Amino acid sequence: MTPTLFFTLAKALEIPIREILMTLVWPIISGLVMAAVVGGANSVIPFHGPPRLAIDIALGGLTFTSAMMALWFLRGRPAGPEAQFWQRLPIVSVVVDVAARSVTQTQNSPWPATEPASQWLKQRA
Amino acid sequence: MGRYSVAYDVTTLPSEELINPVVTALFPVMVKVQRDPVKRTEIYLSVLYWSALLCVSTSVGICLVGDDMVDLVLGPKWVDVKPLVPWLALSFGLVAMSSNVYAALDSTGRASTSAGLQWIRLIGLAAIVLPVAYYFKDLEKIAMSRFWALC
Repeated sequence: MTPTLFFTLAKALEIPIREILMTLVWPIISGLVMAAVVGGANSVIPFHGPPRLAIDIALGGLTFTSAMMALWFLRGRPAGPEAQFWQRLPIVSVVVDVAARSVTQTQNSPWPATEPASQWLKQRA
Repeated sequence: MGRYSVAYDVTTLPSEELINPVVTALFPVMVKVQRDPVKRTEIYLSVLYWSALLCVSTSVGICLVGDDMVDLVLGPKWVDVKPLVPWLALSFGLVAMSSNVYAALDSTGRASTSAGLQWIRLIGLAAIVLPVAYYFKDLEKIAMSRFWALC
């Protein structure tokens, strides 16, 4: 019945149904990735209880966030929650800087070694 | 009924607490832009995206950690509710993700459409869940039928 609600709303407010579907698809993909990773981890973790719960929550949060961010990058970094997250989490930029620098320095990238990766990415965007 | 009710409370609490402020804020914002279709669409899709992020992450998350969460939150006397948790979590995820539809319709003067949809949902749920409850008398099957009815 949930699709009926979105179809009715799309018709009433003249919102293209494709826009609604494309809005929902990215969180759903991230949820599926999280389910696969946490489900897989649970099948190999030999213990139960609060320790496994803590591991699952940490792993699930990390996986969901990583999947959302990866999809956001693939979509060309549109405005939205991920952009706010990216801007407000300097540590992510630092990690990407270090990782990207180690990769690009071995591949003769046009990205100058003295420039932070986040700055370079912004300029390219 | 007690087990179903407790399982429902435990599984829906995180999603409910996160999604309610989003839906509550949608109404006045949509009222403001109801005569501007472009802005209205933009705002609605933005809220829908936030809702989907929150609902998918919490409902799928609870579905995955349900067993350990019941042990920790409710204790060993409530192990019977474990099979209900994934179905109720996913059901509420769907309900919460689509709850902004009613706010969007209400705020743009389409209260009768909104009411009609709520009646359709209620009748559809009753048509699927009541026969399952009557025939099987099994809480897990009732929770499953609730989820499939909402899909």
